[in-house]
Amino acid sequence: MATIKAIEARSVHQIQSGQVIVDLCSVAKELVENSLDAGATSIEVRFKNNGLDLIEVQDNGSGISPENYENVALKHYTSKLSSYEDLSRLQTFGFRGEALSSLCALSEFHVVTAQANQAPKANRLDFEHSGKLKKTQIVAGQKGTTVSVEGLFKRLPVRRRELEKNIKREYGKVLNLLHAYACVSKGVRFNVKNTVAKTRNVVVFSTNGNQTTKENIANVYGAKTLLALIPLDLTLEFEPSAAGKRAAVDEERESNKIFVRGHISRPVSGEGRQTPDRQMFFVNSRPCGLPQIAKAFNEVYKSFNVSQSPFVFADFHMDTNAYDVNVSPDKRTILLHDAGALIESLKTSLTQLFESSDQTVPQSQVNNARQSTTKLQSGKLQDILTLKSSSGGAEAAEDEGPEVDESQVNGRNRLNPQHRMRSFLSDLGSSPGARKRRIHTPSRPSIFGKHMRGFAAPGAQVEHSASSEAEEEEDECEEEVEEEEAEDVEDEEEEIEDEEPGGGSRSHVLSDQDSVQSHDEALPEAEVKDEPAMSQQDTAPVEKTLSDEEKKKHEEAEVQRLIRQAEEKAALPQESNINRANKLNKGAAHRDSTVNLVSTIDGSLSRIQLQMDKLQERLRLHGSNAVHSQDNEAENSLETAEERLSLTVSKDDFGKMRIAGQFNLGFILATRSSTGVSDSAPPSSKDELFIIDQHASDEKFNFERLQAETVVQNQRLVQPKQLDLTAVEEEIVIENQSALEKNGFVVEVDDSGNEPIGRRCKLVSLPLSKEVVFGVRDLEELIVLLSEMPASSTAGPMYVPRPSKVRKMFAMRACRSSIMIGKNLSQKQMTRVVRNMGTIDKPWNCPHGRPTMRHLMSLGQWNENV
Amino acid sequence: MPITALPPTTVRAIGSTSVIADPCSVVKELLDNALDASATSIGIEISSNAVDVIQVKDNGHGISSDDHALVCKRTFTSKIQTVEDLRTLGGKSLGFRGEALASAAEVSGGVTITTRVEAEMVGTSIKYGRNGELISYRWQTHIQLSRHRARHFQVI
Repeated sequence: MATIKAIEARSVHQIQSGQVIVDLCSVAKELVENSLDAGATSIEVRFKNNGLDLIEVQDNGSGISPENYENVALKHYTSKLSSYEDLSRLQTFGFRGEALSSLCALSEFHVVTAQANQAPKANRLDFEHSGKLKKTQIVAGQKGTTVSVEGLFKRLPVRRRELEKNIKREYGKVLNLLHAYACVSKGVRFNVKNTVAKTRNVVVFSTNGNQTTKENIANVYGAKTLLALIPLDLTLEFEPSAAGKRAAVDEERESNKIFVRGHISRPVSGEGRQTPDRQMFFVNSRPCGLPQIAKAFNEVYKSFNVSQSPFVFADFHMDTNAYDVNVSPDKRTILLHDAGALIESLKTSLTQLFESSDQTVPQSQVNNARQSTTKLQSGKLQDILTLKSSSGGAEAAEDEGPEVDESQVNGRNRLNPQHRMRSFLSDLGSSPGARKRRIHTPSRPSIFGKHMRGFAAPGAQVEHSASSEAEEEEDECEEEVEEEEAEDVEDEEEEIEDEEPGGGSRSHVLSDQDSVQSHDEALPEAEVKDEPAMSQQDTAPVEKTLSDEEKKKHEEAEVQRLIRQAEEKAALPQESNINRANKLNKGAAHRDSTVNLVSTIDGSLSRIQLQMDKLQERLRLHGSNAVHSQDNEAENSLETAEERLSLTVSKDDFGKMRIAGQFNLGFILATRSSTGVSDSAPPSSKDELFIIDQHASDEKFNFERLQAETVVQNQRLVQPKQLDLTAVEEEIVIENQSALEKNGFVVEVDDSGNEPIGRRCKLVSLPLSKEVVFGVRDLEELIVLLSEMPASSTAGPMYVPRPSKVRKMFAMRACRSSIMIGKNLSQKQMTRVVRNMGTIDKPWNCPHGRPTMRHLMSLGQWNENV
Repeated sequence: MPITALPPTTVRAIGSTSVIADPCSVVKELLDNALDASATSIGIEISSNAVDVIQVKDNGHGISSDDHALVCKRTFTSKIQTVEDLRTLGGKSLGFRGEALASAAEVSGGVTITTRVEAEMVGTSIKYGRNGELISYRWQTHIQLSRHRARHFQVI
């Protein structure tokens, strides 16, 4: 027996340092955190030979003041904390005052630092292994601090060898960690470089000091990643437990509200990732590992997208009282005081989020091949536009903007009016086809969705009206020139006036554009004169030139006035406005569409009149809608481009679907009628046609019913089987007897106290099914499932976990009892299948993961292609 | 903000909570100690809420009276002397840092250790305060097992 003695100070230092700096990750982490704590806006991390030779972190933060030089690397010296109580109010990443002293102990360590008033003179500080300042030396340098760690673990040979062996993996881990910091740090430019050989210097990744995490993610993982993401914006509220209450006793009640911000993959098959490799969790922007929360995310996600894992970027904003970071030396483990309640509430909100944003079925685009022979059809235009708008993307119309504008300008420069119109239309028709379109419900709560629709639809129609107007013009251009002009101008005025109440920046841009367009449109002959070069292409009738001369003047004056009017409104000081306008202009710059087509357009005065009436009707509607949608505008502009192009299906829609019939004895064809605001449009043009797998959807319905309701039959055992369980397992069995019974396991518990813990349970009966044999193993599996289920939800809804064998049995049973492919269905049966889909939890995929439904086409396209 | 030394109490508190993060780590450390003391029988008692009392009894070699004052001092250990010993330590002892009992005392506000070595006739029951100092000391007869008793109050 050895006696108790103090470990010598040098050894203590080294042992403790080895705990703080465990691997390459901890070095990078500590240094980057220091930089962030110093308020840096630009951080450069340089590795040499993957970090084996050198890790250097340069920032432009506040720098270290000269009186602190002595203390920088001393153990337990810090500027971030002064007493233990401060821990609960901690705002900085670091707080222990251990990192730099540990780095001194484990590597060759030096610092170059300069404060703002010292630059361009900086001080290079060298330290002894104990952390004492060895010497200072004046060198050239900018404001900020550069910390260099050379030869990490040189003094711990075993660890050094280990590091050298695994350097590739370690380096990968460091990069992942830096990704997390780079993504979460808004307004900080990250630049990570690695020098492998003597000369090769590679930029590994960099961010641009973006103001949003979204752009950061785009910088780090590529813009493509963003397409599959939906914003995560949850507010979790729950009753704080005793511990949480005690911690927050002197704080106001806000502390039990937690905000979760970030991004997550769309809960749709094909949009997730194959492995859960990109999942980042933050607590108040501190990257950390939250295994339980990660599990909750994955679980909920898996229930929507069986085969994949999500990309998760989740930042939990909560009171600093509500958690404890001082758990592990690397601070990645965080104790949440109310983890259980938090996870429960997180799961509920996530499920809600996914449910509302569910269903992005790839939207089919049937007509690509036939484009060149497309007939002029206003229904088509309308269809495309309203399709987008009904998806909840308020800026749908804006997206169309460049095309409309551009093709019209193109058209009018090169082609005669019909050509112009044609190219415009075919352009409109073709370009959306090239994009990936999908169906999905708005990711916001449905009320908001409605608002947005109200806002969006008119926008789309403005575009539409612009085009139909243009159309009118074309018609008349050849016949009654005078009338065209009058009508046109009147029309414009009408439009602008009607948009006024909207007051939204978007509509201003639009109206501006429209008037510019019409300006161009209205002056065809004028331009022929101004640009003789164009005249050989332009086949405009020459005999009208004279009257045109007069007309032109009048027209120009009118148009000028309109433009001024529109510009005044558009010039309201809104940044987004300008941005968008820029975007539009850019879009127009590089796209060419000169389709050389000739066709005739039939048009008559009465028809034009009719369309005019419709237009005005719609504009009036727009006016009234725009007023109350104004508030939502800010949020609308956040909608992603992808969502703008999407189509939505919600569960309620199943209830409203009209059954068209059966196809191939295997599929139900159903249409969903449009629900847009514009009731004046021909109703059929916006209907969506869906094909529904009769077997898969009925199977899913049966399966969910079985899952929820079935009590598995059981058979009593001749002799009760004594169970050998651990104490924990036994607790679970006793608490969840009803769930066990639903699965057919009946357990008798001996409360007499005669049996020791672990042997109190007797299995009385086993589940019974025709050919499936159940055993104790299945019970064990079920116990594990039950133990993973958080305690609070056991009292909640009737969710009962099922062991895999039972699940498989149900899937089989559901499959057998469902409508088969090849069965004739009556109208009534088909209606029942479709209505049932609306009632079940997740109608989108069958139990085996196949989709139950696909979008075929929009009926508007159909009309057009006939 | 200037870079200043943290007061020793803060250093202790911060360091301790990361060594003893939860009741589980208390049990682990005490169990490690018992095994390192070559016990052949170990009993663990935990109060129902897992934080009020955690008690580990073993029949290991006990703590000799010379060491009584040093048991709960940070970085005092019988297991290694210098960092070089770590390399030779191999699997010989589970603990080596000399932090567990000190941290347990810090987070719980006090540790009671009852111990007797073979050569002694009677055992002693020793109370240690928050900072690891010996507070009180009394004879305790009729014990077979050396006993560590941590009264553990979660401080967070």
